[in-house]
Amino acid sequence: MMKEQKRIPISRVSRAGKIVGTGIKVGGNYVKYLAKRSADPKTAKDELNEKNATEILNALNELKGGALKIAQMLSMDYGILPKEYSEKFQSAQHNTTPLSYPLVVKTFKKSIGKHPNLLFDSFSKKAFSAASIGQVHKATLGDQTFAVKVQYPGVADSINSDLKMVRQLVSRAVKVSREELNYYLIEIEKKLLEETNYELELERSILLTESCQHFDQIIFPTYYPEYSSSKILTMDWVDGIHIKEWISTNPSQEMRNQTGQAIWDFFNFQVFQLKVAHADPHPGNFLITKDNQLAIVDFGCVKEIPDEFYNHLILFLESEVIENDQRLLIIYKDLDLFHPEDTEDQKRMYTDLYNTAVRHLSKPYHSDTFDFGDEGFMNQFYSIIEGVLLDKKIWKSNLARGNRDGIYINRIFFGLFSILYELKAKVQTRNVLSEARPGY
Amino acid sequence: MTTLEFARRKWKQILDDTINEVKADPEYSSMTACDQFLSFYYTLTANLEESRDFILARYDHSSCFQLHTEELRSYRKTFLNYSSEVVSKGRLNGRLPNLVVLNRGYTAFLWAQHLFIARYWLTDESQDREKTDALIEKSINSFFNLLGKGDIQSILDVGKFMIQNPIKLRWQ
Repeated sequence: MMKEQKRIPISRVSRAGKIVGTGIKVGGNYVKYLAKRSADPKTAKDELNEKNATEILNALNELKGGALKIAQMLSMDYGILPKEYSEKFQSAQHNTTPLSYPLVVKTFKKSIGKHPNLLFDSFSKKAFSAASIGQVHKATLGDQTFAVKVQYPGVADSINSDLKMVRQLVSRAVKVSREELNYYLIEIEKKLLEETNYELELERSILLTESCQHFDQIIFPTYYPEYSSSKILTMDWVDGIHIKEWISTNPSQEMRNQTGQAIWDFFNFQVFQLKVAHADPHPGNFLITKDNQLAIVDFGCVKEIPDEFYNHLILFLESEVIENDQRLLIIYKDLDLFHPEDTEDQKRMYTDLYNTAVRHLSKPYHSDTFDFGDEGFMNQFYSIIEGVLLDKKIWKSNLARGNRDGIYINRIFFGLFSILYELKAKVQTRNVLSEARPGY
Repeated sequence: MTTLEFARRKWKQILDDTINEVKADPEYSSMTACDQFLSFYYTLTANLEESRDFILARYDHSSCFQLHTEELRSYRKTFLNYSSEVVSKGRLNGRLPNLVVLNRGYTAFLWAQHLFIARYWLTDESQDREKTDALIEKSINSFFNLLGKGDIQSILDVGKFMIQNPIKLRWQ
């Protein structure tokens, strides 16, 4: 949640990972924006009407929800916005004032029909934590303790208009046609609107946690429809610390491997078996309890993987495909990773780039065990990117590439890899297609 | 009974009910002045909702200009009495600085704010009128932030501005 955002790492390695995560898998477009900026910051900066941008940002500071969330995703997840801006957004998020208790009460009365004091034995007047679109209260009933998430008013309503502002901001920062930018923003908007729908989140949380019950190393909170509505989501309170805090307590290698294995199995099971996955794998959503058990929360952002995309994705797990340039080329074409206006030269250049990236990223899937603590693996991310950054040809082209389904699917993999890297976990990785389905 | 008389009573009734309802909440007396005010507004808009058809029929467009005059006289008085009660209690509890006295500047501001919120609510088409909730949250919070700082001048300025501007802008 918001505290976690502050700690988004900006080291070379993780930044490179972020760029790979977005740029290559989604397509060359994002890499190119960044490349342009890094290679010649002055020109790129001049393209921004900086004063206007700052004014817009200040206006956005006043808003909760949509704009923050979009800007955050674009800046941090996709590396589209310059770092100065993403820092501004982060500080903006810390400044958001919590919902007043009277408004929380009103939200309860309006959407559930009862005062929280009538539903629970106790209900905290103050929020325990805040996120960009809601805040979490603690409630008790009998011997049960609940986490009650309450949404800020008007968030869903504001996403549309916020997106317009962000679109302007982004189109100033990068030169890409409105239509092409829209193609991606539509996917982001759709997901954001879904996140504001707590009824949908409840449904998905129940569905996904029930499908994952066989992971007995992982705790999933129970969700309570009777205390939930479109603006309120009630689940079990999980007593635990965020995974990053846990890592800083120096848990044993064995513990880290165990946690990493659970996370690996959980995500691969969702992607490759359920074809529906938790698409917000940032550290704040992973908690570790006193008994070193892993708990996974927040199914607000869930990506359903379309069959067409899935059918291409699983091909990357086959070593015959990964080693075969011809087969890879066909996949890239199917995933729209080339632009119709690309010249033969550009096609060759992108093909080389995708080959390198895909072969590297799929490494964990082609060995029995994989050590995510291996700095070499993450550093390799960086050198791939450095190659991209230094290649002038790439930033000559202003065309967007890639299938928009890739945005969130990609976020899942990047989130997964970076968590495992943080954990320095050694994980059994092979055969996700056959073995990651205990009891399925 | 004339229509005017009916409307007058209706307004007064809604407000009296709201104040009674708010004060009946067992948590009310332990709330900060700001939360008391927020509670008041959230209850008021919920109660207004029940009479929305009546209000819309009566104040569909230009006639809104009349809203704060004759018809709302006793409504206004009750509202301002209630406001000064909240603020002076807040002061007694030491939650607001001593120099805060509800002089004419404040009352003008509070009334302007009240009309502003009511009118916003009247035209609010968002789902569950969430935008009005957001407006209440923001405007009441900033009012009390200013009160807390005892920054009288800026409040008076805003009060003056709100009286002069939003009403005209909205219905011209």
